[in-house]
Amino acid sequence: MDSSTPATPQTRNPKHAGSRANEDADKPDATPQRKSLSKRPAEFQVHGSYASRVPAVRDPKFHGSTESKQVPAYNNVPDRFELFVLGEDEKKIEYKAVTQIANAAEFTFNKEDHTLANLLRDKLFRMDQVQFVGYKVPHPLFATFELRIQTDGTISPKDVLYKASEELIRELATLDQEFTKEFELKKLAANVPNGGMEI
Amino acid sequence: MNGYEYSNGYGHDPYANGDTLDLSDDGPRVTIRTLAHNTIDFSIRNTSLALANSLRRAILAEIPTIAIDLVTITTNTSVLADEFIAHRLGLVPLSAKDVDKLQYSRDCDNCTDYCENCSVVLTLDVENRTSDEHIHVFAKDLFLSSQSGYRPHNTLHNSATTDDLPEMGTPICSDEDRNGPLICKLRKGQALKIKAVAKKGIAIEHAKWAPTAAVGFEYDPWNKLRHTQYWYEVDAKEEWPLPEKNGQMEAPPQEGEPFDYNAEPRAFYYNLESIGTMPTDAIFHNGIKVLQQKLASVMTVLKETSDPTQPNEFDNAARGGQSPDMNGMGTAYGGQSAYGGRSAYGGPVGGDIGGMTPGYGGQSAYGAGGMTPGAMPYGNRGY
Repeated sequence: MDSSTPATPQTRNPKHAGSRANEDADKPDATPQRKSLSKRPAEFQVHGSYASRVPAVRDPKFHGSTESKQVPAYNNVPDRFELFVLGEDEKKIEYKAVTQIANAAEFTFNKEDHTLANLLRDKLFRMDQVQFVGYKVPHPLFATFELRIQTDGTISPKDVLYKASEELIRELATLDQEFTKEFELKKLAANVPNGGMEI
Repeated sequence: MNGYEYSNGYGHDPYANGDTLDLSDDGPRVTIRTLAHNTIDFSIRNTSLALANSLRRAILAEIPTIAIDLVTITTNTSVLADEFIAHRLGLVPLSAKDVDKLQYSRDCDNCTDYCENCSVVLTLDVENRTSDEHIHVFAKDLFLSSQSGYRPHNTLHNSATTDDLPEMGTPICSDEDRNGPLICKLRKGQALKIKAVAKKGIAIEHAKWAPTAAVGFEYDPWNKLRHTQYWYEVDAKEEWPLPEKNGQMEAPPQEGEPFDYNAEPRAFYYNLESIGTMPTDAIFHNGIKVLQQKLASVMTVLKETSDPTQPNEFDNAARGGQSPDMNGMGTAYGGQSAYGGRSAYGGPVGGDIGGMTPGYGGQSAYGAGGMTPGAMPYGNRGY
């Protein structure tokens, strides 16, 4: 398949790819104890390459490398991607109004962490209409947080959360623009000796 | 091409940005101190500590990149174990050019395992046939299977300033000899032949997907806010070194200066270092984009439940059952797969629907499974 040979001198030509079954007999420095593979009794013959007898992909549901030796594996370590991929029947945000207090609600965010939580919490904290805001991560092993918001009644917790997100997106966009402006400026300065100034 | 050093020891002139004085904007301000080929030393002013920190976290952990994720080993007669080599291959930096156009393998509709839309295939085929010296297998020996033998010329590019990255999936070789990381060494007669599939991912899942080497972060170098207390044996002032670089950007405290208890952190100093898989400024922009996407998904979920024109589960319960209605959901933001339907708090705008506890199984019947439409054990309202 790779017809043109790369520069590395020792790269293997695909035409020579093949079974190792006969190579042992040719090696002059093979260990004297080990019989060449072709001279072994029939039950120990290796037919074809090693690769063809062992599954290329190890099935994580089993221990053991060959079909006969596979034992079911028990493993309770969750996959890492469960920290940010929503599960089945899982919603991004769950809402629960707080019954005891007016205009208060708790939002449960799934598959999120402090990156989003603290950002929202701080933004909401600085808004006048918000009387209380706090968040907690109930357990560090599970990627979820609860954000509790209480407003003064002029706006609902849902709407103030929406507004906070909107303003944050705008602020981030401004930051993006400022960075680009500054970056282009510095790039120009770097490309021109003496920062573009006449000596 | 080394960076332009901003060496004003008295601090930064806040009006030096751009030609216009944006005094009306009360937004964040950026000052870049140093621009090197893989490093940007900059500071952000006029934002909150929370935003600065969330940006740092997003840059470190959630920027999509591409790295080898699946290795099929045809031949390995080296001294290193299969999984050892596979682990090392995962850590080889691959060019992340246009990786936002690549699908996540788990989201790809085009295939079951992997395909062209969601992966890049690399091959490595090295055998030490005749040399008595050990052959070193470097990252440069990895070939994109799309290129059939042509090896891209890895030049020293100023990746902080220009986007002349090689094609997506090409190993990044930033050392002097353009070899890339050493994968393994082969004695005479040893061979290594593998096929590697590189996929899109983020550093939360595995550090191999991190685009940054490091992100330096500091605020309040003179500790005027008293956020920390210096450990000391006799005298903290004598035992701890002075903040050199960032200390120049802020005025050191005077001797008898009273503690300003209302002050908040306002200036944050970053030192962003890229591995070379994406330009350093692209890392910053992608970090911001990741945060914006998270916030946008929050807004999307909130918005659709407040919309009075959309049916909610209470209306449907009254009607007695309905078919699940996916209200145009399914946008995949970053690593998130589509989440179903609407949340449980779909109700009249501005009105709360009262105590709806998740425990009563009152989550939305839309696409989220769980409960059959119309099954409300305690009646329509959750009282």
